[in-house]
Amino acid sequence: MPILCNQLSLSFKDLAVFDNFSLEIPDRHVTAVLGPSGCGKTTLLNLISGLLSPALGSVSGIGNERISYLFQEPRLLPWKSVRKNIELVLGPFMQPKEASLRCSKFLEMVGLSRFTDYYPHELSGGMRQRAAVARAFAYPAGVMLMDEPFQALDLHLKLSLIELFEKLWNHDRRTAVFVTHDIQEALLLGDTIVVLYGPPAEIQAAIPNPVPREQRSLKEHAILELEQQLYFLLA
Amino acid sequence: MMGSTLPNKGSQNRTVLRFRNLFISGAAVLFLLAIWWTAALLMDAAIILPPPPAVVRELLGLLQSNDFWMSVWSTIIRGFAGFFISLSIGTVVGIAAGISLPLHALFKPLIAIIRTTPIMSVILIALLWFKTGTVPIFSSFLIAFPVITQNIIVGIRQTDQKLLQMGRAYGLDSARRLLHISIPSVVPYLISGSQTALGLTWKVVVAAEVLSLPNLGVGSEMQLSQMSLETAQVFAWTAVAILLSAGSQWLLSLGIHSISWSRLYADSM
Repeated sequence: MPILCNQLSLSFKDLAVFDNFSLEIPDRHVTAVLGPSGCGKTTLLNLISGLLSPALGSVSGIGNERISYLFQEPRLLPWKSVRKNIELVLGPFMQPKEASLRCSKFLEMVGLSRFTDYYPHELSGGMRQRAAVARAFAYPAGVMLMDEPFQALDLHLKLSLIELFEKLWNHDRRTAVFVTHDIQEALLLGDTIVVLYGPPAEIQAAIPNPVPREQRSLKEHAILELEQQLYFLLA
Repeated sequence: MMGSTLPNKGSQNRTVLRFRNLFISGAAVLFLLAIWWTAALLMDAAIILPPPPAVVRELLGLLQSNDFWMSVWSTIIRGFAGFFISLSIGTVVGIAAGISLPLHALFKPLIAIIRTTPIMSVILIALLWFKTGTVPIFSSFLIAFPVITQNIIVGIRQTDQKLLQMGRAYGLDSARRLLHISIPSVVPYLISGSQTALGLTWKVVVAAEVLSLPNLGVGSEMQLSQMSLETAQVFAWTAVAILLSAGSQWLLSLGIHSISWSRLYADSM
């Protein structure tokens, strides 16, 4: 079922961040939301997840679906090992044995099986974000919200994490909303790219990615053309 | 090459610095002793200021008596009782007041009043209410408990909002968020609060013993020595009180270091 944002309105003090805003997020697709800082991208994720409630309007299509989250920072608890960090979010609805197996499986998929008992401060920034990716996918959820999760990483790490995300996502296709201000990230990950400006947030364009996921690369002709188009929309 | 020599040089520097600082501290102790000794010689009145050897002699004499150990032991029991009651009640009240604004409003005036009450008033009032042996425990509890509570309230308030938001986003209920996110965040604040509280505890326990004169106790002995003008003995008992406080601080720091993850806060992310 797609997620529908129906005529959302929300203000912070006197600033209207959303005013009668509607968006349809297709099922089992990655929707990239591209826009400048402060246009309401993070607020949109908080409205979808229910961390914030709109003053008017509603979000439908989530029902009782669980939501996993990837933040800009890894947000791992510094006093728990990588394994315990993941088992913590699985705990409420899984037997310890099952949680432990699931945790091992996903840590292996992100290449951290040798580091399961390490504490976050003992890992590099890239490894910490990989642990956060493992937590997001290990958490059984139908919806995945991503708030610029690759933004703080250098280009090489960013590309390897995007590749990792694709691998895990192909294994378990979730309805994903990926918020970013980076055109290239949006081009590589988004099946649809929604360009926002604001506040109040408005959709400037919603462009389907012409290249199938497996063939996307920053050297692909169609991708480069779309990059130009997005660049003009944002500049 | 640089990489291999730098850390080595660093650790060498650290050792040198440590020795230098030890040397300075040692020199300062000797200097104070010298002032004390000189003043004692100049005054030539052991009843006002006994020279260091007289105090050491007195201390060695005390160590050989049975009553000495019984007194020290009684004071230790009172100190630890006061400290652990403060620690447990302070932790519970601190966590409750840290997460609930109404509870904070409820405890705030009480904590503020206790913190500003003179220690002597607490002891004098406790003398009217309790048996002599209980006065030191009650007084040290009343003085140390607000320190721990206040530290824990601050610790709960300082919990990283981003981690709490992560917990909410991943559907952790409030009990799990408290147990796994807020309470571990409090640990560094609990440690510094305990250190301050423990230092205060010994001061209050000995002061309360001086005023309440239980049968056995470092403070009682100190007071009796003072009344019989045994100045060297007052000094010797004072040294015992200082050693008690220092020893317990050392035990506490050992305890803190045995919790491996508390060290993680040195470099939190």
